[in-house]
Amino acid sequence: MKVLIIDDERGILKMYTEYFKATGIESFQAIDGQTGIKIAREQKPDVILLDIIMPRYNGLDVLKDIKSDQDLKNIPVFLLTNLPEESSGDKAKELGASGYLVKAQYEPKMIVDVIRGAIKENSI
Amino acid sequence: MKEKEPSFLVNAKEKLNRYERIIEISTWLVVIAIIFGIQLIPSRNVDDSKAYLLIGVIIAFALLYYLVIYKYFSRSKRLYIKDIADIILIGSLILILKDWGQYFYALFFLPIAAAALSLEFINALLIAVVACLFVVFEIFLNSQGLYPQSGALYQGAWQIILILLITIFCRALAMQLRQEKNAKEEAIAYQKVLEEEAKRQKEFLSLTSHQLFTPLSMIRGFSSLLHYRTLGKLTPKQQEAVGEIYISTKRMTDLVSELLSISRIQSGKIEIKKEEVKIEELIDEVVKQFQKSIPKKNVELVFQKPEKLRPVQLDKEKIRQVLYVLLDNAIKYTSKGSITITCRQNFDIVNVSIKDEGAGIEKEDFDKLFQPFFRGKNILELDNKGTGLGLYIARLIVEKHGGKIWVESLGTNKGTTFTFSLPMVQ
Repeated sequence: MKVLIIDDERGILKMYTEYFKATGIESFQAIDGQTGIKIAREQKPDVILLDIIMPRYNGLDVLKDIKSDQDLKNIPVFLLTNLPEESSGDKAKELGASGYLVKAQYEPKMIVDVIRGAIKENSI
Repeated sequence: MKEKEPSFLVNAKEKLNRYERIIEISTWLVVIAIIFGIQLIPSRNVDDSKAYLLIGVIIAFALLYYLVIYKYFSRSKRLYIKDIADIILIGSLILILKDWGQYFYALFFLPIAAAALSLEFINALLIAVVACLFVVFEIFLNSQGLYPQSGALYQGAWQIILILLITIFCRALAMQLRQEKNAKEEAIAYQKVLEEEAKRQKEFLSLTSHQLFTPLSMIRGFSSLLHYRTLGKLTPKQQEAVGEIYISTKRMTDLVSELLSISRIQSGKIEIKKEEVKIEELIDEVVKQFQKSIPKKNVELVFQKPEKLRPVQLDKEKIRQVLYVLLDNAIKYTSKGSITITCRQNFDIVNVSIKDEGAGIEKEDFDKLFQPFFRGKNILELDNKGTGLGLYIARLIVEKHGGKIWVESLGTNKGTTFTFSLPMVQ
């Protein structure tokens, strides 16, 4: 399984990378949306974890661009943010997000459970 | 920077300007039309040269008005000058028309009403006085000797009274209209302030949540990696210390999350998004999730699924949260026995009950149980890690749906039944 994480917090990137490495999941990191889309085109990940509040190019715009890109639109994208679901959940759903996860409530292990479930569902 | 006016206000102003122009021109057009109309009457006794001179004066004044006065004077001064000029024009017309003039006194009401509606009372009164002077002038001009005839005096007095009454009536009408307009404008402005405040609060809560959760998510994530030995083995003392950090961070996250939920519900920032839901299927989903998580406990979770229930209008995720709180509590405080979930519809109400055979609750605590941070004494002995906010949040959510939540228990160690009811038609 290949996972791409797009987040402007280096600590968050490091935390998930450590967990993915320890559990044998191949992961790629991007510190902003533009780098994220570039890596997504090159690596074709099975799932993308995407933060919302990022400078210049926010997560909802990145999601919109991913979902309008013919090569990327079928990759499940999970918004992984600390914004409450009430503030951006509807917009994320409307743009085609596969899920909305609040970072503080999902430990790395829980996130892997969620994305494994999504990939399994996607392959069925 | 000046704030842009809303489009409805701009449209209303444009409409008003258009009407004002029409009213401004109308007095002059009426005077000119009367002069030309009089020409058609064979028995007229009108000095034609004076009548045409008056038309010339009207046209000259109109040009002066639009080329100079309109450009260089404020609206109130402009209207004041115009209303006085109109009174003079109408008074002159009445004098020129001689015997026919008495039929056109009503024309005075046009500028008088316009002045009373748009100018200050004192200015409107001055314009009315000018009209009254013309009436007096007319009476003396038409009198045969030094003193006017009593009939003409009575007629003049009535005309003056009428002019003054119309001035007062139009002024009162203008004040009433202005008051209504001000009240409407105030209501719109207040609504705007409320909307802005609501938006600001929503943004504040979202950002507060983000700022609080960002460091917490990192502490919780990294401590979970250490606690579950993902980053390698620790010494027993380190393991114990990390375990405490991990559990405390989880509690802290739950607490912050619940406090923010309460704040959002109380300030109305959480919308209840109702949809048609088969409540028995929602309960079934939640029960199955819990059944997976309690295999090690000697507790049986039983859902007595009813048949043929009508769908209920509710916010699925919020009611799921209520079910989570109630089932989580039931499992937490039942060490052995069964937990039974039932769902019944009575006319326009659906009741969902969660009955356990656990710790029970003393009657004196029933009402306090749904208050924030309250925890029963016997509950504290069993578990002191909860936030004491779950049932309070459940109550807020149920009440937001127009429903009720309550508890029944025969006392300590005699089990508890939590029930919430929701209206079917909302």
